[in-house]
Amino acid sequence: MIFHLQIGGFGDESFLYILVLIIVIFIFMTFFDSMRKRRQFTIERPITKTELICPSCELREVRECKEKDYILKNTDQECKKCGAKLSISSIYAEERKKS
Amino acid sequence: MHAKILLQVGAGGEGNILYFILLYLPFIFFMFYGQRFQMQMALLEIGGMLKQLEKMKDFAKREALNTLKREGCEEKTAETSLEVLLNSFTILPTSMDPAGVVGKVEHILNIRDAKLITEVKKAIPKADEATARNVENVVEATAALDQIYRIVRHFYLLGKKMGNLYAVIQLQMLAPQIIMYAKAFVSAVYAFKNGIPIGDGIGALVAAKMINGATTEVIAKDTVSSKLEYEKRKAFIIKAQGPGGNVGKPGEAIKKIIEDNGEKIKLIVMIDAALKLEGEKIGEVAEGIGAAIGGIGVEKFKIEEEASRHKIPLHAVIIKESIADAISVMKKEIHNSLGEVLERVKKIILENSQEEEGVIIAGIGNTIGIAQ
Repeated sequence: MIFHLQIGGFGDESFLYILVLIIVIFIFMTFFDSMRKRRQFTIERPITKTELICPSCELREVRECKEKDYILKNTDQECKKCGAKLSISSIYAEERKKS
Repeated sequence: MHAKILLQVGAGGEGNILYFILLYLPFIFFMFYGQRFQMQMALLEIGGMLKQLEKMKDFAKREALNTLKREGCEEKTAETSLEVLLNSFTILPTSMDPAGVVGKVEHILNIRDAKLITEVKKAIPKADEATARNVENVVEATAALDQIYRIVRHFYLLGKKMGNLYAVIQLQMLAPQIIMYAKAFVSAVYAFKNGIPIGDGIGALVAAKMINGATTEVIAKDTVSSKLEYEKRKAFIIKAQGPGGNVGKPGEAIKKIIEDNGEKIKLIVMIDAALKLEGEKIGEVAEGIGAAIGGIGVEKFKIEEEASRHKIPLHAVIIKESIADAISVMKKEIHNSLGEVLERVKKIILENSQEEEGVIIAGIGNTIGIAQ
């Protein structure tokens, strides 16, 4: 088994360039990582859905969550099938699809 | 086997001295200045985290101010009220003599809650009870973010001032966890501001579905109960009073029901969200024994005390979720566990009680966005 470790085999100048390049990359990566961490915070609002149910025919309807919605609230919205007033059965966040 | 190792440094000649410096200088540098270098790197990272925390805290403050203004509070009053609320603190009683400390803690927390809601109502006198509770929750989430920021800044500056590598490294190790908690509080601000149910509310949601519009009565502060016929048993369903952001006093409610119904109560079933371990599925349902309730421990103490005094079996059904899920808008996976939880509760009741016996079903958690 032969281990042949030769440093400087590239020639004097090449070795120096490689070393300087490694140091520059290292410094750049450290600062880039630090800057990336500083910028990382973004506020992503969840997609919130409200599910309504008709108390008489049990027809379900899903729409975007509106202000003042709460579970078991009787809304003014009418059922498309029987015309009864819908009540809110659930409110939940849906996963945002990654583009 | 012969091993021939040939190590040739440099091609020879005068250039060798340069290579020697380039190779050995870093070793010598790190030998003497390694720790300082490591500390500077850690401080750089914590500085970045602190910047993020500051942005989160400012965002939460802005949202809290907007919420106060939306509910009719003047800008100047909103700023002053928020500053007062954010800077308020609670001193918990001493536990040097632990006998009776639960009562003292409860007393302090009651005063704190009353003060907080009074301050909020003073700032938005026209708001209804539910809205005032939601705003109170927004303020509490903002205060939590403010506190996290202040503590991290304290240790960052202290580490920098003292040149204490180990204090800085500890903070660096905790950084991802701190950011995770802070992000959870930011999501909480959004949910509380809009009065949307949060993951922690799954227990209250189960109770609300069981009550399903039946008559309720206020049994303890911010807590309602409904007496129903369930699988030929007398069921007392307990939950915090919604749809405002409340956790109520389930311990007090259970105590009262047991006192009023004597030996008729044969079973207590508690439903609550519980922290999942990494790798566990969100919304996973599990059942066990004991009082499933979080918080500082006052309500848990009361429930355990009553259950053990009357020898009532205490069963629990938990829904697993992360801390971020617990205080953010309720995820679909958590909501979808509702059916399974109801089935488990039914199974526990059928297996552990007889017909005509009394059972208490307590849906624990913040009932924001969930009526009854």
